[in-house]
Amino acid sequence: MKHASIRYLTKEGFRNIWSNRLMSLASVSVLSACLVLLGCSFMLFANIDAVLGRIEAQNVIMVFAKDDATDAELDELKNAIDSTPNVAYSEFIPKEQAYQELLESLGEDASLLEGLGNDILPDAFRVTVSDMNQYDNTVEALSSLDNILRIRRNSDLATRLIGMRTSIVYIGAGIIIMLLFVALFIIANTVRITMFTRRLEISIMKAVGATNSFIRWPFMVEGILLGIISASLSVGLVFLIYRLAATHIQNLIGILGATLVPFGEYAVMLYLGFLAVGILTGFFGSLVSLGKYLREQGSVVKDE
Amino acid sequence: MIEFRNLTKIYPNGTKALKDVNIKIEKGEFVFIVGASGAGKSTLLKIMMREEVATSGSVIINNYNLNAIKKKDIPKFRRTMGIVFQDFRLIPNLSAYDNVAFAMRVIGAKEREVRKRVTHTLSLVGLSSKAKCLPAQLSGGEQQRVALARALVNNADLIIADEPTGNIDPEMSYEIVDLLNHLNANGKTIVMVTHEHELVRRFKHRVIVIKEGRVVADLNNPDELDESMLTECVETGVCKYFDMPNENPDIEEFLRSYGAYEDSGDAESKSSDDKETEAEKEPALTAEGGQAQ
Repeated sequence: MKHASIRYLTKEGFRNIWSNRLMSLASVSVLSACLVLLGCSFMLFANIDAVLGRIEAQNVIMVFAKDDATDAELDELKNAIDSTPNVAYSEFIPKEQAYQELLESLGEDASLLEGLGNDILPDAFRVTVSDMNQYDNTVEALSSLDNILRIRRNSDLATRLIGMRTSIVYIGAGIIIMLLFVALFIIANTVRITMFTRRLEISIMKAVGATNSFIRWPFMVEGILLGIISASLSVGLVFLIYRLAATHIQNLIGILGATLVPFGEYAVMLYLGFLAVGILTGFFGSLVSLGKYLREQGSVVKDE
Repeated sequence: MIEFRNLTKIYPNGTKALKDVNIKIEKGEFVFIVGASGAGKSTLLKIMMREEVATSGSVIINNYNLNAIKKKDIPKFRRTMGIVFQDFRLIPNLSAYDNVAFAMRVIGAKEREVRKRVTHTLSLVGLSSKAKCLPAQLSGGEQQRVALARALVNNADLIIADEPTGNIDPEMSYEIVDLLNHLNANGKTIVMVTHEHELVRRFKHRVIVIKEGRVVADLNNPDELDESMLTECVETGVCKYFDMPNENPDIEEFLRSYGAYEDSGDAESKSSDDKETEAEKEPALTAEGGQAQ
C-alpha cells in the first residue's frame, strides 16, 4: 500500500469515529464496561492475594534453641537456619523478649507469671519461608540442625493457604478469560453493526474498485483507536470505583488488620493490560467482522 | 469493449434470468437497455459489474474475461468503468466534492491529483458552485450529477448507468441523459438501463430490448422498433417490451411515442399532458387504442 494511502486511510479511521459517533460511543461503552469488570475483578484478586500473602508471612516456623546453647552456638544456628533452602529470613528472639511478648499477649492475665523469672522461655528463631509449598521440607531440614530444642509448625494453615491461593488463581484466571471472550464477542458484534450501518460506503468502495485491504484499513484503525479510548477511560473508571470502594470498606477491613493494596502499584500494569486487550479486541473484532462481511458479500456492489 | 456470447444465467433457485444473450457493444457507443421489470436487465448489469458470474457463455468487458477473472483482479477491472445508480448512492455526511473525491481516494490517488480531477469533473457536470453542499442540500438531478461525476472522476471509458433517471423529475432526466450524450460525444461508451421510453425515443441511440431473459430487439434507432412488436402491443393491450409509463397505461400514447400513428402529426415532440389532450381531441385514435383498454 502506498504511503499516501496509508495516511489517508488512517485519517479516515479517525474521521469515521467522529462521523459515526453514536456507534463509536456504543463500541467504547461496551468495551469499557468489559474492561471495567475486568479491572475490578483484577483489583479484587490483587487484594485477596495480598491478604493471603500477609497471612502467609505470619505463618512462621518457630525454632526453639536448647537452653545450654552458647552465644557462639546460637550464632552458628542462625547461620545454619539462614542457609537452609526456602528460608526467606529468620529473626532471633532472645528469651527476655519472648517473655515480654508473652506478658503483652496475656494482658490483664499477666499476673499469672508473677514470681517467675524472665528466663522461663527458651531463645528462639522466627523463620519465614519463601514458598509455602515447600513448608514441610523446610521444617524437616531445620529439624536436623544442632542445638534445637523443638520446632513449632503450623502445617494445617499452610496447606489451607496453598489451597486457597491456587483456587483464587484458577477462579481469577477463569473469570478474566471469560470476560475477555465476552469483550471480543461484543466488540465483534458491535463492529458488525457499525459495518451494517456503513454498507453504503463499503458498496461504493467496491463499485469504484477499492481492494478489500483498502476497505478494511480504516475499520482496523477505528477498532484500534476505540480500543485505546476504552482502555484510557476504563483505567480511570476502575480508579474511581476502587477509591469509592476503599472509602466504604477501609474501616471494615481495618478491623481485620488488613489494608487495601494501593491502586498506584497496579495502575501502569492495568493500563498496559487494558491497552493490549482494547487494541487486540478492536483490531481482531474489526478483522473478524469485516472479513465475514466481505466474504458474505463477495463481489456484490449493491447491498440491499 | 463489451461482448456477451451465448450468455446464460441461472440462479441457484432455478430462475433462468438470461438465456443465450449475444450482445456486442463497441467503444464509443451509446446503448439503451430496455425491458420490463424482471426481464433480466438487472442480472445483465450485475454480470457486467462482476457481481454475478454467468452460468454459461462468455463475457468480455474492457479486455477482462469475466468468467475467468481472478478475485483479486475484480477491483482493478471495476476501475475501468464508472457506475451510476438509480438511487445516487451518495454518502450523506460528505460534501459533493468529497463524495466525488471518495472514489479517487479509496483507490489510492494522491491528494494533489484528487484536487485537480475532482474540481475538473464537478465543473464538467456543472456543479462547481455546489461543491461544498451536502447531498441533502441538492436536488435529485444535482445529486445524480454528483454521482455521475463520481463515475467519471477515475477517467473510466465505460459508464454504466442503472436507471439514472428513475428517481428524478422528467426535466432533470433530460439534463442527465444530455450530459451522458455529451460524454458519449467525447468518446465515452455509455450503457444505460432505463424504463423511460420517452428518453429512448428522444435520444436516438441504439436500443437493446430484453424480454424474459432474451434479447428480442437490437435496434440502431428506436424508430426501428419492430412493427410486429407494436402490433402485438396493440392487439394484446399489454406491452411486454417496456414498463408502461404509469399505473394506468395509455397504450396508445405509449406506442405513439415509438412511432406508431405517424399520421397523427407532431405528437412525439409534445409532453405527455399535451398528448393526453390531443388524444381526447382525436376520438378515432382513442377508439383504435380502445382495443387495448
